[in-house]
Amino acid sequence: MAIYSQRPTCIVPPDLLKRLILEGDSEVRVRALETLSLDISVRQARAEIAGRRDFDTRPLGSLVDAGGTPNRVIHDQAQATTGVGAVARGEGQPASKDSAVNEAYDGLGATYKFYWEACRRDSIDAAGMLMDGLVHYGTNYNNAMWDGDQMLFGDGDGLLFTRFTASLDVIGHELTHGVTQYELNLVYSSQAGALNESMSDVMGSLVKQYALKQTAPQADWLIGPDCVGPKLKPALRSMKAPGTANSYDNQPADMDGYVKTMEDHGGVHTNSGIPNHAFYLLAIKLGGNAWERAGRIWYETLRDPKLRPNSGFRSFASATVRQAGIIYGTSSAEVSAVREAWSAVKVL
Amino acid sequence: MTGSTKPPRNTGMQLRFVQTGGVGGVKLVAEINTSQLPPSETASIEHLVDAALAEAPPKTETSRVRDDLQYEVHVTRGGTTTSFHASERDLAPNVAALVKRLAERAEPRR
Repeated sequence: MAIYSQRPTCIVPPDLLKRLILEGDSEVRVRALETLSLDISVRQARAEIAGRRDFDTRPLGSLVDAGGTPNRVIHDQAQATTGVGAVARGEGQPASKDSAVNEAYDGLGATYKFYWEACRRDSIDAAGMLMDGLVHYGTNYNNAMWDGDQMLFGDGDGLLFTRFTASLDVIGHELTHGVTQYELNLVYSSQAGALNESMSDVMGSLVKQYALKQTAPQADWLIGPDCVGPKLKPALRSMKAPGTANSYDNQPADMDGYVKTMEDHGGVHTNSGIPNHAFYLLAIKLGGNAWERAGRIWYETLRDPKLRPNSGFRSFASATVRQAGIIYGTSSAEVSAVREAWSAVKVL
Repeated sequence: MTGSTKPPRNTGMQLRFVQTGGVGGVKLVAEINTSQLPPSETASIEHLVDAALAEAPPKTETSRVRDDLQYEVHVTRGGTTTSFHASERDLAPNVAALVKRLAERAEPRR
């Protein structure tokens, strides 16, 4: 049914309508409310149509309700930093004697399970993509990363970091970089880059909460407590209290502390504290399991066709409000909670 | 003894190394004055610096890598400072050797 064969336009701006609601007499108020309500419905319909259009452009595999089974391959790099090491454990194979191999296998499995069961997403590309994990990458290598196709995990030097495979939220973080690449593909610089990082922290934390069956108030909201060494204890980042995770944590919790820098792609691991904290505030406000409502809003925002790869904090925040409205209704408690969360971190 | 001339003081090379990024986003910094190192180490590090500076920088392309480590090296010698920036995924061999050496001396900073 072509309700909007021509794109409707609103002659009266929404701000004027809002003023009429506040200042007009009773009849004007009623008319203005009706018009504003229609305007919101049209905007919502547009967003939904755009969402369906986007869905239609997805790989055929994602249109079929198939999946539900991960496809994992863990490679042992044996300290090499080039090439791909020998397969240490493939999908369905028995456990290895190597803890790092089994942790990567189980962590990727838990991440797949979260995305499938909570988001109905079939792997990194939503079409059953193979999940390759490379363990024992480098010698005393103090990092884990997504290289565009696969995840690399170092063993740490024992002082700053320990084995990264021991950290389920870090595994979820890295795999989510892949998910973001296949969805909004946020540019890895400045605010878009900080959103890219934050999305990985949010989903990484939700992967852990889902596996541990923790509600939002029960969760620790820490990133990396299981892979930091003595110099960085107790964790890398805190979504609950950005800037307090360790002695060197300089993440801001709101826009007053926003850091302008050329380092680290424009401070992507620093300013991610702001959207991280907004998500935490939303999850606590909504209560219950964070992946059910707060997580769903964030995940649908990652797939919002109106957002662009270079979106900044305000665009992203507005998109979360829009998605909350689409999912729960524009006058829902969820929409109010999303607005409050972004307002608290001084983005909206 | 009077009238003697002191030999010229070797002021060495001042190096500042900054590592950022990585999944941890932890900033590591090393500041080294090579004249304060044991002679064998001074020669070794200065040789690495010269080799790294002489090396053509690798071609950098738009990368899909996320959480890569980023390095900055600032070399001050004779009042002139030369700097370069590199990502761990596009290190030329001599730069990689220098970065590895400097990273061993780096400590976390806020």
